[in-house]
Amino acid sequence: MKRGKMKNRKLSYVFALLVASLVAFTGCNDSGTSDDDGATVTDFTDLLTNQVNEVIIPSATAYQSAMENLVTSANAFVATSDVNTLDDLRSAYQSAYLAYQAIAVHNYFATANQSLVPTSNLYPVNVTLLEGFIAGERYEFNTLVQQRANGFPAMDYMLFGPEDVLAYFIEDEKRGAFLTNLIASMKERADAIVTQWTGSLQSGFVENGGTALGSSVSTQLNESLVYYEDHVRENKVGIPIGQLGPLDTPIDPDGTKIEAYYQSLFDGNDSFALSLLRASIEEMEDLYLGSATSDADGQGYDDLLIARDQSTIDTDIKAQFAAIYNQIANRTTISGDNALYDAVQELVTLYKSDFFPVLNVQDADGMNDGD
Amino acid sequence: MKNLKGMLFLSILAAASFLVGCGDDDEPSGGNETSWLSSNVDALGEVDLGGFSIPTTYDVSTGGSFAPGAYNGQIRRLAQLQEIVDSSRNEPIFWDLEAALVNENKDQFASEAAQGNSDLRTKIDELNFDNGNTSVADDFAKVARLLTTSSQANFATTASNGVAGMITTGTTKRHVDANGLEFIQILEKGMYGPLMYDQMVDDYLRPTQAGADNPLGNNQGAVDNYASNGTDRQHRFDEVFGYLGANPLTYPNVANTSNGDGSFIANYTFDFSDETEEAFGVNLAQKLMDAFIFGRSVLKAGEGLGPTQETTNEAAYEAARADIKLYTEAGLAAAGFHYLNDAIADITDEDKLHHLSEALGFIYSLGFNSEGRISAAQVHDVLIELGWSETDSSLEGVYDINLWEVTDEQMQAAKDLLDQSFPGFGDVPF
Repeated sequence: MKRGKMKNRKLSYVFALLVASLVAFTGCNDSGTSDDDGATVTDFTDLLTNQVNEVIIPSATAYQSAMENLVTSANAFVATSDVNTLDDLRSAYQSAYLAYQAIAVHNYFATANQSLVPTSNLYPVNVTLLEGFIAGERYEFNTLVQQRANGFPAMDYMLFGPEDVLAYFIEDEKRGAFLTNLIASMKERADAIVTQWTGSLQSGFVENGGTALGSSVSTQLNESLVYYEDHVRENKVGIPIGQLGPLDTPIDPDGTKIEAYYQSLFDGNDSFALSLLRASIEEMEDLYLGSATSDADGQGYDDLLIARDQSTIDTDIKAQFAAIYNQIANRTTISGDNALYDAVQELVTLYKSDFFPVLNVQDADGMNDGD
Repeated sequence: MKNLKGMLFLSILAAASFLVGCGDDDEPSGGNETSWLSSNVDALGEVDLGGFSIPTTYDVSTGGSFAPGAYNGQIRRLAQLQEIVDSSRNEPIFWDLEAALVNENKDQFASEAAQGNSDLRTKIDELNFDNGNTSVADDFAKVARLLTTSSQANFATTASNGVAGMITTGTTKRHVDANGLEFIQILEKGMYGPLMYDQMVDDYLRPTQAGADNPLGNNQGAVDNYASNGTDRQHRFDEVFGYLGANPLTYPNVANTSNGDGSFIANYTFDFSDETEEAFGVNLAQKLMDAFIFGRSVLKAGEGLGPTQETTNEAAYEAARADIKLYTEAGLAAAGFHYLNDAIADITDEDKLHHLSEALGFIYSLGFNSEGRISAAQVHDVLIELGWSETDSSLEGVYDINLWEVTDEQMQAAKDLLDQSFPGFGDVPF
């Protein structure tokens, strides 16, 4: 960002800090701040404990498990390439891709440090680059040079792009070798993410209290929203539809830049891409509600709003999630009118304008300087 | 990375050697005047950095002790300046160097290291960001423009007093103006001040940048690029290091007697460290590198997941900050003394023009440190001794000097005045 913008933010930041400090200080005199499951004004221990134990780690382990299955299926397919093993592989790939959508929402701390998103799901895939890496037997999955020939988009092309996928693999063993190396790399990353989230970070996340910049509450809300804006609103929806945030600037729609593009061509519809979108929205909602994958309703941000007599905002946010699901259900393609984009964008507005200020969470967008 | 525990004992061997040095018979007059070179870090004695072990290098790359970290913009800008310097002796210069300073169209540079969206001018403009005054950068743009145009008009002319053209020192030909000012020396060495030195000591080492008042703090959560840059305070500190121009793994490499594996400020600080070690027992380059490594260690050891978990030893950080400012300034000052000494000793006018141009650049640069031992006003006073405009302390004032006619007495007077801010340096045979 420009330094001028940074400077302009400083006064408001200092003011926000003072307000937050005052609220926190006042809250210190409250009785009964943490010993029950009810949401309190200043103590986020219950919330963060629920988030890390019931939302984040289950998403990470589900992804790890799905990747383990994908490793098994890929190895079986490469050993014996036939219709059955290909079906199994495609199924395992789809499950892993869906599981990825959840952990990717938690793109902070260990997940961000492991570079999950940039190594797993930058699309569209550059097929020329991909074929070059395959031919050269280059497996640089952790480097920038391979960002556009990596992760699920690379698998999407290899498993659905060629006219005859079986022949594609049988003709050249390097393709199978690339696929298994790619998946092994992704599995290693999934393992590392689980290891870190279940290590010292698990308690550190809970202990990192308050709502100041860098606190777990601030980081979780800000970084998940940044992910939502960049990778859900913009990449999954905006670019194919022809809208680019945050000013909703119209651009030329490009239906070829959807997630899982080659499977959509193969299937003749965008059903899988829409299911990926829905999975990411569901995780945003789970984060908001503090919902475990078991559907248990632990303490979530909705409870914090209610505890602050802000039920109207809570109602609006829940209604907006429902509106997005409704838009997804009403479509067979990502491309089309702006209704889906508008619904996705409205959640950003609710978060930034209503939700964050109630919690004294500063919108950190643009706080990080360049060089 | 957080809650690191344990105890680490800081070596104070350098301080001990400093004390030994004070008793040396060859010490310049002024003896204990050189206490101003004492290390603030060494004065700390034992420092608790938890379980963090201070490394021997400034390694922010993957796997390094300070990882994650990066200072790519600084590497790029120094590469740009290097490319400009390397082209400055072409006869004539066809490259529009004024355009190079702004990296016009972002396509000015040939080397991969220099290519990108960064440029030199915008960083100089940040000097006066608050009031929109871009005069310092304008002054350097003018020097770049004059160098380009003069080289094209006068590359076949042998310079003399009042005539712009080429001078020859040894086997090297250099472009000078009619007053004998060597353009590239004032452009390069003069730019050390508003570009690198200012960015280091007055910008990134400010309390709101690498210091304790940084709003994003020394924690992972407040930044969205921790995996590449580290915490925000660490990143700002790395940017300070980036402008030094030192090889993070080898500087100061005594085996490389040419530059110690440093460029620009790091190079010149290394060049005169032997002399300060001989005279005062203080090796500027080593102490500077030690301070950087220690300061980054303090930030790494004190890093938190969030703001409430930071444990940064601020007193230790401040000591490192003070040492960085001190030894960077001392390095630039030593270079200023050295080139004045050279110019006084030079037999040929051409050599004097070359060395005096360098001295002017280094001394001018010393003014870009609001907390330095020498103030901008005092720098101007030194420059006035050399003929600089008495009414214009900006770079424009240099055009009042006829370098052909500057006397040894003037240069000695400048040294004497400088010595008031850097006691003892005037007697060192830099």
